[in-house]
Amino acid sequence: MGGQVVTAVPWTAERVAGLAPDPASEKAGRALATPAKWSGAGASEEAVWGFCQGSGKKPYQTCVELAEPAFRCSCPSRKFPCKHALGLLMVWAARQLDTAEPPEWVHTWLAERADRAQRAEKRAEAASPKDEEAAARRAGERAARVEGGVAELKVWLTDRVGAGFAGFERSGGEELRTVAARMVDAQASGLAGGLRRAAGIVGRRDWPEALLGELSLLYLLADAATRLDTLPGPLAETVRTRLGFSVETARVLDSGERVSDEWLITGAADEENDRLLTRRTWLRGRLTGRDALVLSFAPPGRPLDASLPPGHLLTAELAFYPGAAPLRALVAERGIPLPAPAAEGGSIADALAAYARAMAADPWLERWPVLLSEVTPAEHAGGWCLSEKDGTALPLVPYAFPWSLLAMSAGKPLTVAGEWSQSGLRPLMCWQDDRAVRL
Amino acid sequence: MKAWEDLVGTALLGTRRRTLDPATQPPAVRNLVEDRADPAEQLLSAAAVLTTYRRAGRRPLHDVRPLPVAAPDERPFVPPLARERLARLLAASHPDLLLEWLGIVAGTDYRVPPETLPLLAEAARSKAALRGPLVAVAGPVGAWLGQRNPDWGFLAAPPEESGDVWQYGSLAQRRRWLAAKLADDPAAAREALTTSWKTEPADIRSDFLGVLAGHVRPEDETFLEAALGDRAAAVRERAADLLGRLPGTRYGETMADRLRPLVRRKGRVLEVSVPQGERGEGTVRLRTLAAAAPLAFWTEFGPPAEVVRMTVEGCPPGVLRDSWATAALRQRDETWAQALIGADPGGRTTPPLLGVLSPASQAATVGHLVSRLPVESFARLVHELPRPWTKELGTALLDWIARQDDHRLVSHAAVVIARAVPAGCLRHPLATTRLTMDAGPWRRALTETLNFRREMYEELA
Repeated sequence: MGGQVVTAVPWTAERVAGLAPDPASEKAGRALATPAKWSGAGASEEAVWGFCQGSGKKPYQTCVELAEPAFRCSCPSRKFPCKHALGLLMVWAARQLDTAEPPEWVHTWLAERADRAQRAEKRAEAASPKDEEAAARRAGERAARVEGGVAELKVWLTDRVGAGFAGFERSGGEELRTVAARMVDAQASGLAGGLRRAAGIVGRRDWPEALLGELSLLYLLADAATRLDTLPGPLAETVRTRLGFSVETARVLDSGERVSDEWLITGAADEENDRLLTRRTWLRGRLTGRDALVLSFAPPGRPLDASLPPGHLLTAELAFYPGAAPLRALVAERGIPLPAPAAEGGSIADALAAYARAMAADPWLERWPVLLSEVTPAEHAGGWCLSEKDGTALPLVPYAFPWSLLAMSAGKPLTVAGEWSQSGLRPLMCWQDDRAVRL
Repeated sequence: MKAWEDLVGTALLGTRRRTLDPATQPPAVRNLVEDRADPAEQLLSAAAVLTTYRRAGRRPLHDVRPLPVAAPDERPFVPPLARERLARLLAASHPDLLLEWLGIVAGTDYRVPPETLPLLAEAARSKAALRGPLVAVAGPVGAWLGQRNPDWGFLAAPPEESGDVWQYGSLAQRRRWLAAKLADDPAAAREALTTSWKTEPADIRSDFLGVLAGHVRPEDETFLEAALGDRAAAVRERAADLLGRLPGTRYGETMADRLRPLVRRKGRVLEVSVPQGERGEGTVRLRTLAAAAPLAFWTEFGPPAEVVRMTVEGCPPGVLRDSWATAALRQRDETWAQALIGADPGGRTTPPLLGVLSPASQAATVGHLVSRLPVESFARLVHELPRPWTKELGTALLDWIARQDDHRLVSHAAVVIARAVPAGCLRHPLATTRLTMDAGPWRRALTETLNFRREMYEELA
């Protein structure tokens, strides 16, 4: 946002808490969130800074650059951001930091960062043709390996269905995991993931039915992979993505569909898989009505992208990944997220219709964002659901903790954003009486 | 859906044993699978289509019945800084500070944001003391949640005004009812108590006397005297204790009459004869008599400060000293309490006796004890001081601890002082001045807790 004049709106405390790499860090940060712990502290439009007395003789020097955000602290902690950065941001969020000119050491650091960023950009531009050749060769090798995996899976699937599922509940889980490992070797992570999901189904109630569902969709994917060149372009992209091929960021930024809008950040869900943290952040364009999904990955203990705080409105241009039902996107050009105290959603019927359209384009779709207005939590058949006035309702996922949502509602309708999947609706965010609350 | 069930059935048996009959499938699916040769591939293709169809076409639930709506709560939310404080209190486990915070909010016209109620209710589930203030702070939304979640039933406590609670309620409910009634309508409370008295089990009788202790008055003499003859020893002891609090009772006079022939003064010596036979034996009986007799009994032997310093012969001196302390506590006699503390400042009766003193003389006495007791003894005494502390006492203790050097017992006392000083003490220099960087950890913790509490009050002022 070079040259753009922004007014530094302190973040909400919740947004700061969302930066913490783990609950212990959040707790430790809160303990430092009092002005008494800080000296020489201040805030400008670009950064906040201060000195915090730790257990050592010398106070720690902490600084946070707000745009990205980026953190620097002289403490030895390997947490990122450390408790000092979190505590300092919380003091700022509570509006207890005075606006000031950044001192020399803050200036120096900000300048260093800007310099580094520039150099990195230059390096990226200077990629040599030799690198490109090597990359093309690697891509070719990978495609061959995936092709091999796909062929192997098709054989295994038809063989399995030929023999029948009966008796599969005894050894099926293990067998599926073995095939999944073969798909990992073949670098087809999408196929491996689907097989692992199937392994989790075996033995559960009504498992033959659910297993047939999962395996048939895997077959569909493997089959589509064998005739990629006959598929329409966007669908071929979807198939490649579902197989586990990644699309380079640069390609998305260069040629992805661009949509500018005021994006409401309707929620974020974090998940840990194979020692990798994934954050799904959902956005809904206020003017276009488009839904978007921004993914962020990090190893445990490292921070996930925190530039998209749920419950905020962000004027931005998104670049969508290619596909038959484009949902995943990158933020190409962004403004400053501002708190959005209210949200406007649609009806359950609208949400289900949109989901059906998306499923028709991408049958492997796992979850779909919904934003529902005027819904009330209610009980149904021993579980919880979100109901419209006429009694039409969507069930919540069985593992959802419904009580924050119930407390916010207290029997009155509210606006709820969440993820809709086969197992139900997972609420992520709700709006009531001009307040946005993460669930 | 017949077509789907057919697919599942075939998949269970295996296509080698049972071929899929395309006629059972919808025409669109039939067309799609016909160009597949392998029956397994036919099955998987058809299943993929129907799975997508079933997932995409999932219908919503209908005829879901709404929940009742909670009564409106017009109170504003606690201010933003207090909300952030609450998040800190919930993140760290400081149940005593959370209790204080909720107590402050309960005294204001604020409520907490509803999304914090689940965590607060969970905290109150494991710590019952939080429930009272939480019910007030949570208001109708809390009651509504309590009706939905059986674990939080305490939030939805039924109205306890009705007399039914006294007859059918739990022990805790009955205690609350009795305490409230003793304050609002003492006559009705006493009538309820005496009416059901004979049918209550012994532990409950003793428990109710404990509730009555805070409200005992001269008219209770007859009732309590009757309770002196109770079957249960615990009830008899409680009754004696309560009677001892009433001035000029027949019971007290009787005890003094029985004590009189047993005590004589000879110069600087109190000669005591231990009573024999009768009820109870020896020194136990002597303790009962001396603890129950009005302290005025002893004036004929000299002023309190002199009597407590006399040499005692005929029984262990501790017997009389303990009995005097019990009597001073029951009769709330400040002169005797002062005399007993003065005679034996390091004694184990000193902390409760300090509770008898008026705020000003309590603080002065504590100030005096500081110079008379070794630091270690005084630091131990701090733990046992009766609560709640007055502002004067709190200030005296803060002044004391501000002067102390690093010492294990001092650091333990600091933890107590930081939590126990009343709100009025939180502007003490210890809570407002910055510490030097080399201050010991206990001193920093003390200042932090005091600051934290001060900010807590300021944010909700």
